[in-house]
Amino acid sequence: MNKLKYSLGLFAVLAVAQISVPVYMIWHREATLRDGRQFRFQTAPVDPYDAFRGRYVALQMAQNSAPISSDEKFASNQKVFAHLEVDDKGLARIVKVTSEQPAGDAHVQCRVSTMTDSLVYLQFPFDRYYMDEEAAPAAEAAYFEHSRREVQDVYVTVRVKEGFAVVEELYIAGMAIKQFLSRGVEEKRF
Amino acid sequence: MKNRKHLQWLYRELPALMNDGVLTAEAAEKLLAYYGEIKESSKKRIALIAFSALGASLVGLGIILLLAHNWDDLSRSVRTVLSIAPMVLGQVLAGWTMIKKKDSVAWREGSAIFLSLAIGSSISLVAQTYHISGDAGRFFLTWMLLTVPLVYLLDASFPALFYLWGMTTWAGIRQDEAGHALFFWPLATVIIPHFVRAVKENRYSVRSIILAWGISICLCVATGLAMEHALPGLWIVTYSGLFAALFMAGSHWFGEAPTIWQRPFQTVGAAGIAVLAFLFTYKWPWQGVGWQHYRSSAEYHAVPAIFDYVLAAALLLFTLYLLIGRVRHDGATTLLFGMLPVVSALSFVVIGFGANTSFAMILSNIYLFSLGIMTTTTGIRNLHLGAVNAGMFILSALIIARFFDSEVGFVIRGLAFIIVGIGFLLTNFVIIRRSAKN
Repeated sequence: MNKLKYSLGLFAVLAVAQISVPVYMIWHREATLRDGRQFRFQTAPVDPYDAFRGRYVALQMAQNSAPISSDEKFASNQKVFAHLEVDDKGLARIVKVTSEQPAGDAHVQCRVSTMTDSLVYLQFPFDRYYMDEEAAPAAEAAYFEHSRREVQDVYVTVRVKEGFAVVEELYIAGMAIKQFLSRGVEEKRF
Repeated sequence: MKNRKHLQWLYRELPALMNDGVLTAEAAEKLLAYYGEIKESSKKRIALIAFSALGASLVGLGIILLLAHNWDDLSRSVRTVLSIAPMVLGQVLAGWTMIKKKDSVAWREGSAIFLSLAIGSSISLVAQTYHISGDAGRFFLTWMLLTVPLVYLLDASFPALFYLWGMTTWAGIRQDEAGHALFFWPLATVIIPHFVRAVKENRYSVRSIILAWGISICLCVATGLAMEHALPGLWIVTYSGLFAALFMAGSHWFGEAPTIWQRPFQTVGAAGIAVLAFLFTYKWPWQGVGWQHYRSSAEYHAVPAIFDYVLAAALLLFTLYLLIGRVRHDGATTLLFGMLPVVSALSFVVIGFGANTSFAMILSNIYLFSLGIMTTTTGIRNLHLGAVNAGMFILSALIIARFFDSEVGFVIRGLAFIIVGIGFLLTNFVIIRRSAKN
């Protein structure tokens, strides 16, 4: 009986550990979505055949690099902080990259992908936007059309809190992607 | 060893033994009492366990697929509930099994595998809801570490196999990301106590055999994935050592197994040895090997690569230890199978010092040819048709490969074929003459 109690006790600890992983993931992101500062990141046109792998939109940021001075050195895959500013179009812009975390919410934690003499290229912690299985092909078509015409009106809103970023919504032509797609369906009906 | 098949054989023999006066009726009864009834229910039990594990896996995988559809209409709070619910259900089932059904293998395996899958589905659904970027390595590692305690808490073997699969996948992802997978080894050994316990209970039970198959197959894949490959061609020594170690360990500890199915280590080891030896008869494995070609670019990590050398040396020494220990017990064929790492390590070192690749190719041809001949003759001597076929298969593969080998000139190939052919005919002639004399 004691052995059973002991195993059950251990199992209870394991069960709590198992549950706490998704719960922490949810809590951290909910807190960021609620309290985080919103930034709009303009996305770059992606090769349409590569843009949708399965059920998500592969997001690629239009600005994925920042200038660095010649004495700064980062290692590949190093954790860094991209300092953000909002430009006159209301879009997020990376002004500089540091290895030290700054105060406030206007920065996002990234990883260094590559470096040149004057630029550091970044890997953002957000590179996917998941879609409903059935909506994905329509989203692909819309995304393709809006990048082919070179109308730069695709952007993603991201909430940032203490460097932690959570994707909020993907916008095409000023509309949330779901709204944009449902509008498309209605247009086709008439 | 109380094997059901052996008992069945013994009980079938009893009437004849009594008739012929070898055993008295009293002795036969004592035998029956000693060994007891043959457990006829065990087939039914195995079917129950298998279907329970299969059913639980299907339901778990179905839940993962359903949630992966990514229902647009679900709000974030509904998704939160949905992502936790399968896991809680799995935990309740597993807890209930621990309290009420701890003697039922079917319940233990079924609930453990369901909970294992539910953990993965929970994490994926959260990742989908919040558009978390695809860090597959971290996902697999978290999933597997949350799963593996179930192996011990529920004494379940399917989660152990599942864990091995997951850790192997993780090693592959790590290498793909240009990282290293050194931690695969300490993490994989976590299930060794479970395997040892199953083997101590009965090394030929279905549980031990399934685990042994899982471990052998996992090792074949994971060894290559976990290696850094900084020293080109080291895999030749490592894999030769791995297959020979599996084969020799199998014949040392699992030698009494009656069927191929019950000899996973020997079967995987022997097949690996034959395939490797065949590959080594070609030029490509031997090109660009050795220290002069050491790879130092960023994706090859010099420090974790040290473990590659330790692993290769350890496998080589372990095989040598078993070879020396088994010299008196095993026939020449078994020992020859175990000799592959010696042959390939020798070739690797010689070529590493700058020798021509043909050294290794000729040595491997001789080795594989001897292996084929020895397997065939042992098969004939023991009237074991499987071994005869395997030996003939090795020989035919080698002959066909060399016949079409454009690396060697026609004249040399022609002469070699004729000499070997005459050798066979002469041997036959001598055998016939001898048996006629006898």
